[in-house]
Parts: sequence; C-alpha cells; structure tokens
Amino acid sequence: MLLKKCRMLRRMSCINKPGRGRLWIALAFMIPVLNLSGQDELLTIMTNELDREYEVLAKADPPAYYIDYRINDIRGYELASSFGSLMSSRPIHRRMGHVRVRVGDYQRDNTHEVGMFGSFGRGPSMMMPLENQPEAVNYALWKATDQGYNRAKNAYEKVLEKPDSSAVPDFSNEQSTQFTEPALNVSELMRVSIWEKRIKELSAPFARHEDITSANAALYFSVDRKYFTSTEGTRIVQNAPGAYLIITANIRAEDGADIPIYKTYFAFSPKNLPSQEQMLRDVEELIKTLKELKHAPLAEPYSGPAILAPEVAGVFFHEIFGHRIEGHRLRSKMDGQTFKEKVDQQVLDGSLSVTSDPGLKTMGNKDLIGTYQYDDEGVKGQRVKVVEDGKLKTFLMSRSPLDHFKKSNGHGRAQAGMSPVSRQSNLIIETSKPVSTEELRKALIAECKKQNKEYGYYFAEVTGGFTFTDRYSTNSFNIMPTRVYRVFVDGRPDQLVRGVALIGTPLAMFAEIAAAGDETGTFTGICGAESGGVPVSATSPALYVRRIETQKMVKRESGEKPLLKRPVNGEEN
Amino acid sequence: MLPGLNNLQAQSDREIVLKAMEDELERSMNDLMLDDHDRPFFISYRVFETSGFSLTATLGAISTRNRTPLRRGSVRLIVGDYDFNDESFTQGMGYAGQPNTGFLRGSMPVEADYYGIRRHFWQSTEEMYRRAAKGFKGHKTKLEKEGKRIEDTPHLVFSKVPVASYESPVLEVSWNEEAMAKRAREISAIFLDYPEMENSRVYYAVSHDREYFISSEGARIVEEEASVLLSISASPVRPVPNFVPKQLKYEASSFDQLPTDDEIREDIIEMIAKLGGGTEIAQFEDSYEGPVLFYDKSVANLFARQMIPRLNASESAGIEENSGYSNRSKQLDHKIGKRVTSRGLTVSALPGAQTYRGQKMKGAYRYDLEGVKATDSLLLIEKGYLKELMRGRTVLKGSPGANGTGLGAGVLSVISHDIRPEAELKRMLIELAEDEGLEYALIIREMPVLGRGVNVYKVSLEDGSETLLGGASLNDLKFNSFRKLGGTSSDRTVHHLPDSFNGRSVSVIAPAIMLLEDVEVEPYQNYGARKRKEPLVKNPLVKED
Repeated sequence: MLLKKCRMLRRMSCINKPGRGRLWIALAFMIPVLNLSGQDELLTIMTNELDREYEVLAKADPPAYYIDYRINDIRGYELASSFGSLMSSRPIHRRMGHVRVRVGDYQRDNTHEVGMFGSFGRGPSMMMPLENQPEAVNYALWKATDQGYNRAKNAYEKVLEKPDSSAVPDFSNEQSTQFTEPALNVSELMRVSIWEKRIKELSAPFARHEDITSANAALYFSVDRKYFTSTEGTRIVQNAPGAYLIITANIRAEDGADIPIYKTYFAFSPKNLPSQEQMLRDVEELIKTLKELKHAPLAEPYSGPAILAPEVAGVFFHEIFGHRIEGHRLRSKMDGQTFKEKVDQQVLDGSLSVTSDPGLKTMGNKDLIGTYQYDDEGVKGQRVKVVEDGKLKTFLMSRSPLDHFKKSNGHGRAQAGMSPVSRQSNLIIETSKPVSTEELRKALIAECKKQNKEYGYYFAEVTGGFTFTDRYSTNSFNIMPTRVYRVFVDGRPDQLVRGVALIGTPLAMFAEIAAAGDETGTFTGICGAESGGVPVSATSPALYVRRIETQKMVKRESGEKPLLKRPVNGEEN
Repeated sequence: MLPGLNNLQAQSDREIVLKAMEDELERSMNDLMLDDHDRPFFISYRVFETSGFSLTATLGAISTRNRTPLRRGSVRLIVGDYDFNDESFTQGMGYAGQPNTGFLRGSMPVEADYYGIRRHFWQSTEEMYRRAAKGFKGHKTKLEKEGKRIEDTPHLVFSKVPVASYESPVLEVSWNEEAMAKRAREISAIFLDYPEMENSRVYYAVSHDREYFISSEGARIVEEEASVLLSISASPVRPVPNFVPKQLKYEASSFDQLPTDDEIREDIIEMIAKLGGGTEIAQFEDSYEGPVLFYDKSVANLFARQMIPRLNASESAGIEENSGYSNRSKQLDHKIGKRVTSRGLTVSALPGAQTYRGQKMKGAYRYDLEGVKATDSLLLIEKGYLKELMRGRTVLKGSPGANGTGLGAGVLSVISHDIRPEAELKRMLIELAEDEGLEYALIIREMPVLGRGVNVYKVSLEDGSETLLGGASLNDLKFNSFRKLGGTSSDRTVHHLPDSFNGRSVSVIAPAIMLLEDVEVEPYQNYGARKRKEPLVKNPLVKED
C-alpha cells in the first residue's frame, strides 16, 4: 500500500512510506559552513572512488549501469531560548553520504515496481568523515557501494522474475552537467554572540504574561554544501544556505485548552532576516493574538463559504494539488493518481495557473526556501508551468519517467542521506482575474446569504497541513489554522474562534474555488515525504471558496493554573 | 589553548545557580499551598551541569565533534512528615531503590541564568507538589475509611540524617580541541595498516561536571569533577561466528594521566592480535556445569553483576501497594544474620573511599542523591553471613535508617579467607572437574558482557593445557554460586565497572583469581552474525603489492 500523507508545517512534516509503515519526518533546519580551502577536493576523492568502483561493478553479473554518490556537508548553528533564557547554542557539522547503484539498464532496472511494492532505488546512507582524508572517505564509500550493489542486485533478480510489458523506462536519460560554486564562509554569515542575545530578547516578552505557558524562539542557520558525482559524468558542487527563525508560544484558554501560535522567518542568510525591532513588534502582535485566543469561543463543525488568506491558500495548494502532481508517485499502482489521465484537461478554474520554479530566489522581498540550482539527481532545476489557464500541462519530474514525460525537469529531491523522488520546490499560484480583498468579502457574504449562513470563515494564518494520496485510504487533506475569524453577514465585527481544522477532498474542493485576491503571500516550510524533509515554499493569492468543511481540532490540555507566579527577570517573587 | 571558565567566573556562576535554587526552594516551602491540602514538609533540588568536548575519529579523519554545555535539574518534594507522608505507601522506583529523583523534563538554561533556573524549578516543583499533596491526602482518607491508624500499618518513613554541607574547590579545567583532534586522528590512523579490521573508531572526550544539592533541611553540597576518556574499538572483517567485541578504554581525571601514544599503539596492536585479525577461533558448543576458574576483571564483574544488586535493601517489600513489584522476592531483606555465601568471603561497601593504595576509586562518592554522606565502610557480609544491606533515607518503619550507601556500593571490597596459590587453584579446578565426571574444565580470563559472548579456555584434565574457544555465555550465573567457593588468590586487584543496579560506576577490589565450584556455561547464540559476501571491489585500504 502506498500511503501518502504529507504535512506541510511551519514545522512542516509529512508521512509517506510505501508499504508497511509510516515515516514521520520533523522539521529539518539549516546550519552554517566554514570556508575550507580545498574543500572541493572532496569531489575529486568521491569521483576517484566512483571510477574505481564502476570499473569493476560495470563488468559484474548483473552489471551496474549507473552509480551516483551524494554527500551533504552541513555546517551551522542552532540557538534556542525560552522566556528569555538561552536554552541551547551549538555549532553543527555533519556529513551525510548516499550511494545509488542501479543494475540492469535504463529501460528496466532494479527500481521497477514489482507486485505490491515499488522501489525508488533507496540506496545506503552513511555518516561520512568530516575531513577530506582520502582513505577514510573512500573506505566509507566502498562499504556503502558494496551494500548498494548487493541490494540492487537482489531487487533486480525479483524484477527479472516478473516480466511486464510496460514501455516506460525506469530511469531517464539526461545530459551530464558540471557545476561548482565557491564555498560560503559561515563564520562571516552569522555572529553567534549577537544572535544569542537576539534570540533571548525574542522570547523574553512572553514571560510577563501569566497564562502564556510556553514561549520559545529558535534560529537554525546552515549551509548545506551538496556534492554530487555520477558515472554519467555529472559533477555538481552547490550551496544551499538558509536561516530559519521560529517563534512559538502557547496560552492557557479559559477552558484549560493549550492554544499554540507560531511565527516564522526565512532568509538565505541571518543578515537578511527582518530587523530585531520588526520581530519584537511581531512578538507583541503574537501576545495580543494569544490573549484574544484565550477568550475566543470554540468553533463548531461547519460547511459553507470561506476565504483563505494568501499563506493559507499556499498550504492548501501545496497539500491538495502539489502532492498530486509529483510525477514519480503516478508510476505506482498504489497511488490515487488523481491527475494522471488529466493532462490538457481543465483541472482548476480557468483564471488559475500553477508554476513550480526552483530557480526563483525571491518573491517580493522574501527569500524563497524552495530554491536550488540543480536537484539531488544532478539535473538543472527548471521552471515548470504545471497548470496554464486551469489546464494541466505536465508534472514535476525526477528521473522516474511517465508515459508522456520521459525527461526530468529537475525536481528530484531528497533530504541528506535519502534517495530522491519528485518533489515540490517553489510553488506559485497565479490568477488572471484578481479581485480586491473587499470584493472577496462581499462575495463571501453574498454566498453566505444564499446558503442561509449566519457567517462565513476567514482563515488568516496556518501552521501546516497534511494529505493522503494513496488509493487505499480516503484522498483527503487537513489544514491546521492558528487564526480563524467568523465573518458575519449582518455586519458585526469579525470574531476570532479557535479549535478549527480545515478538511476536505481535492477534486470537490477545486470545483469550489470561485475567486482569487490581488495580493499574494508566501508560506515557507519543510515538507516531508518518501525522500525525507525538503524545504518548500508556496506563494498564492487569497482564495474565495464557495464551500469548505471544518472539523474540531484535538484539544490539548494545558495543565492547572500555577499556584505561584512565574519568576520573571527583574521582578521580585 | 581553549580554557574552560576561569576561576572567578566559575565561582560567580556557582553562586548564581545556588542562589536561584535556594530562593525558589524557600518560596516553594513558604508559599506552595493547595486548598484543603498539606504544605510540603521537605524539598530538595539538584542541578547537574557539564561542559566538555568530545570527538570521534576513524581512519585518520574526524567523524564527529561535539561541545556539550548542559544543565539539568531534579526535584524531590514530600508532603506530610518524616513518619507519614505521600511516599509512605507508594515508594517510587528511582535509582538504587530510592524515591524517584530523576531529572526533570526539559533542560535548564545553558547560562548561569538566575531567573531561568528559578523558572525551571518553579514549574517542576508545582507539578510535584500537586501530585504529592493529593497523594498524601489520599493516604489519609484511605486510612480513615479503613478505620486504621498509621502506627499499626506497615509503611515507609523518611529517616532523619545529619544536615550535610560541603563545597568542593572550584576546578579549572581546560582543553585544546585541536590537540585532541590531532591525537585522535593519529591513533585512528593506526588502523589504516590493518585492512583486516573494520568499524574502527576512536572516541576522545573531556568533561567537567558539577553537581549541586540543596534541601529544605539546610543541606548545601557542591561537587566538581573532571574526567578524560579515550576509547578505541574495532572488529575483524572476516566473519567470526560468535565474535566477542573488544574495546580499549582509558579513563583519567586529567590528560597527563593517559598513556602515551606509543603505549596506546602497543595496546591496539595487541588488541588486533587478540581479535584474531580475522582468524577464526574454535567455538564453545557444549552445555557445561561445573568448576570455573575466573581471573581479574571477570572476578570483579561477577561481584558487580551478581552480588551488588542483591545487597540493596528492598524497603517497600512489606508494603501492600508495592507487592506487585518484581525482583523484591529476590532481595535479601529477610536473610540478615543468615549465611548467604561461602564462609570464605567478607564483603564491605566503601563508598566514601576516594582512593585505594593511591589509586582513585571511580565509583566512590561523597554524598548520595538525598544529601546523605557516604559511609567510609559498611560491612555487608562477614565470613558468609549477611550483616547489613545498603539503604537510603526511605525505609520501612522500624528498619535502621540511611547508612550512607544510598547511591550503591561505590567501592566494593571483597576479602577472601580461603587463599591458595594459583597453581593449587588450577589443580583444584582439574580435580573438581574430574570429580564431577567432566571431560574438561574451564577458565575465564575476560569480562563477560551481558547479552554478548565470552571467550573461555578449555583445560585438559590430562595435562592442564589450555585451548582458547570463542562464543561461550555466562548469562545465567546465580547468586548461589558464591556459596561454593573453591578458593582465591591472595592478591587483590581493582576494576571499575558499571553498577548494574543504578547505572553508576562501581570500583571492585577483589581477589585476582577465584575458583567457583558450580557454574553453568552455555554456547552464546549470536543470531545477528551473518556470513557476508566478499565485496567485488577491493578494499581501498589494501595496498597494492
């Protein structure tokens, strides 16, 4: 059974595992890098070992026809504070290696789906030495290659036992590429002592408010220097830098429920994050919202019109649409294959277009987390117009071809140490008929009246979501908002409510999208699936949907009100 | 050189941490009060902090580096009084049978942050108070309902002890990360010349630990310690069916106490030779029951694994609500005054003995987790007769109170009254085996590790010659085996081992050779061992001819 449940969160995580279990992948953040002279000698060491291995394994029985080595050299810092106290501050440096050995040929190889279970060529992964000592690096690669070859050989024997007539190749032919960019100097990109102070300041203001039960700020900055070499001659060394700052807090509601709120920021470098003054203003906003949430009524299950704010609409599209256009999944007989046969058909409103663009670095003044130059299979990341004027045109492709899409468009992605599959990058939803926020509200109220509803919903902020795409469970999605308002038809002020989850099934929901706004917003997070957590963004205008459905969220208890006051810096207790 | 905290800064940090602990403890004792419930009568706070650096190296390259600033806290809170309290019927299961004083959820601030440390204790103390206050009220209600008096009901009491006060001097610990890395690289590179070995790993770490304890009774203890650890492990490439892993481990309180690089190199080469360098050794395949002669660490290990856990008092054995706890029936609470081992053995706990013949005792401690001073000596078994058990502050009403062994034996001294020369012990071994009708006898010279195999020496009854066999197992050794002591050598050796009862270290001072008459040895079932295919590609470490 192919189970696909993707959760895109501020702390995004997803579940997706072919077969017997579920794999949870939590937030993976970024870390920093030092400029080591000669660091790129690692690529030479890797390639020399690759050549040595291939010389033998290409003549083995069965022969390996393709091998690639990937090493992610991840360096950075991880800082965290709670109520103004520094809880951790540590440098991080790790190197993860991954080896892919393919046995057979491009048409039919060891990754071919046999029976119930498919394979995407999961290769061995290993912790690599942190230093470019050739014998140590070679030894680790040698062991993993041996393991990878034996694994591929065993899988290929099973493939040969069950011949099938599928004409779709298992691995696409791609042109080899060479690309190297200079290493980044991590110590110049982040001053740890300054950020320790800033991170403390960002969680300190929450301490003054008794009902706030937790308050944390964390900064994860990393540069992932990614090395790729293959027997086809592709050689890539590229950087993936990122600074991810997250502020989380919880408040105890009057009924004892624990209510969370989040605020996140992303930039390629810490210096590009918003100013401290701006973030402190945001903290005060969070406190204000938390206090409102404390008294907000619990929402009852609802079916009716709603407006999704741009960031919420971004998550909505990522979950209900984005995961269904990831090409490799459509090869599997276990997948729901929602759009497999819908190419050139109308799948969305004619005013909507959807693009995936890994080469796009910024949207407005925001750095885009889903940016990269080459994917994790060494293919150049390409701008892909997936939907044009509502019509489906193509899919996000890795090197796992489909009937009419035999080439990769550079969307083969993976977390360090995992095998790549097709994944989203920067998803951009555009409308050719934008309307103002005011017009969206008017349309919402009109529809509410038509449906005889007292109010509609405005989903203002969201923490993430998840979805299932396999055909053995309901093809549903679930979006978890943190700030939701009732918009009354009689003109009363909007009312903040809590405990609402937005749910539904994709095709029914697409048919209800009636209009899109004239302002866009970008959601940033880490999405997890078969190939682990990968950074993604989703940019969208606000959406007006004629009918959505909500359900109650699980209530988390916050514990009893404290007997004594929380000790607060500078206050007598 | 990267120094640790300088002396002034370290002293200042200590004062901030202590002040935060004391202020929050005082506030909790004065102000914590749930309606219709009792106040706490005892609170203790403990903080454990460590800073250090560790790295691993493989084949001449560093593979991990970690800096570890860490601070964690624990709270003990009791509602009621010394004689009757919330723990009287429901003793928790913490270290060494003590009430649960384990670390609290979440870490504390990494800086000496007065308010951050107080916040940590504030939250945890409230949580524990609610539980304890409600628990104590429940005990009182239960007694009332059943019409019983506490005086007539078996229950646990919290024994009174002298108030402890101790502050060790501030330690200045420094290390040079690059020098450590260089040394680890060089040691790990030795394995480059041994392609017949795999999974080689050098771990090198320094740590500076500091522990604080305060209580509402007025105890105030601060202890500091520095330690350096260098360990080296590897395994042979060639599949050996019941392979017994080897590790070289050097521990010291400063870098200069570690062996030299040349000494370590010699040890590594010797270890590789012992591992067979890939040479298969014959396997032990019988079921053996009879005499076994133990040497050195294997002797110490028998006492650490099989004897120490049984010498901890099980105070709650008499409490109705604890009757479900396993292991209680195996304790020796009801055997005080009776013979439990051979008359040839006298066993004492010396947890306060910091050194023995000039050698530092790694397992020794000054105070336990309840602030009780470690005793210098507690006689546990005298010539085979059980005299006393190790106990903390929580004891069964009527039992003796804490006896300074609340954190276990720390240092266990074993004295033999049945001393014989080595040659005589081996002769006895052969005679006993003949008497049992066995075809051979066994000698064990290595420390058996739980769940793993051990190498043994098969001794010919004809000529006393010895043959090394791999893959034996001693998992089922029973406490009763100590009743049949054949004798020991006169010299005693010291070994530092894990105390299987509480996870700490214990230093065992025991005879270097010991003959036990009735021991079961079985083949070790290593289900994980698999025959591996020879790689198609040549090992890159194998040099061209």
